[in-house]
Amino acid sequence: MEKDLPRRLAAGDTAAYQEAYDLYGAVLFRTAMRLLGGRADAEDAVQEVFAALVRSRDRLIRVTNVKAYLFVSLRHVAGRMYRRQQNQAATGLDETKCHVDASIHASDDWETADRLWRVVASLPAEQRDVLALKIQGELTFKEIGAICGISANTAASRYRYALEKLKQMMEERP
Amino acid sequence: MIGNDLPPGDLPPDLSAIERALSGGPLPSPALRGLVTAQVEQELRRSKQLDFWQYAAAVAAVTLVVMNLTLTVSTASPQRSDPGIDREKQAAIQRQLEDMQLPLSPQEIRRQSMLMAAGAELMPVGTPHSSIREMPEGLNR
Repeated sequence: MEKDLPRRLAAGDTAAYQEAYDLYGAVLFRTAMRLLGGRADAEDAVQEVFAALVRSRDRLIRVTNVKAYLFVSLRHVAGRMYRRQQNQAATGLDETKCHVDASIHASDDWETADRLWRVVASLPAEQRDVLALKIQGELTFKEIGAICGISANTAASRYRYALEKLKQMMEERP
Repeated sequence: MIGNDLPPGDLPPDLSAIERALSGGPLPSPALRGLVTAQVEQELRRSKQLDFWQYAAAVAAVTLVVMNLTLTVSTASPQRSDPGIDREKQAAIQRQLEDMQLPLSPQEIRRQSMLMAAGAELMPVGTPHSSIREMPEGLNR
């Protein structure tokens, strides 16, 4: 069934899109949540990913890994939304972001995933993306490499650097 | 290790602990599936409408190109001279007509000159007359 998914998606079969959501919707959402930091933005991103999937369905017939294809799309969508968030924060419009940043400094509790991911937000984008794709997207380094346009080895290295940097940041906390 | 395809070396226990701590994640709201389905259906409808208009635009474009080509060819093609017409005579008549500076297009002057050059060789065409008196001498007998 999953093997036949690209053909059914390309044909505009609504049930195939629902099946794709059932298979990958949760991991897409969790990754989007970690990349964007908010539930509402993550849900918007997932909807946009599926809308983009419909718009580009003519190309799906040649796609062999639908999951990787969806994550490529998510990375583009999240990147666009992240830049918009940054612009809004720069102009003082994003109150949510300000609140999140304040909560990082207000708390010493580093043990919950949510707080850790807020720290991840301060990592370089390429490391943050690899962490989110690996841990929340449950992708292989080979898939991450294909999505980010880097080798699997580079993806693995970035992953390790990101974890080390995160550990260092946590140790530097008073 | 979460991934098992290409481990970035064996992670030390402290990094593994961070990895485990990062792995928790929220689930999407149950409503998201419905929202995604609605979005997909909307995009499918929009894309089908777009397909129709793209098709219509393509048909209109092809029709316009064909019409344009047909008009270009028909206006650019020289009018075929009847081989029975004396070309010198026709050219002389055409020059005369041009000298008269009549408010006629060059194509019309050429057409008229061809008709005049053809003269008596043209097929006789019956002229309707309202009464016998109006008929030329000799025909009303």
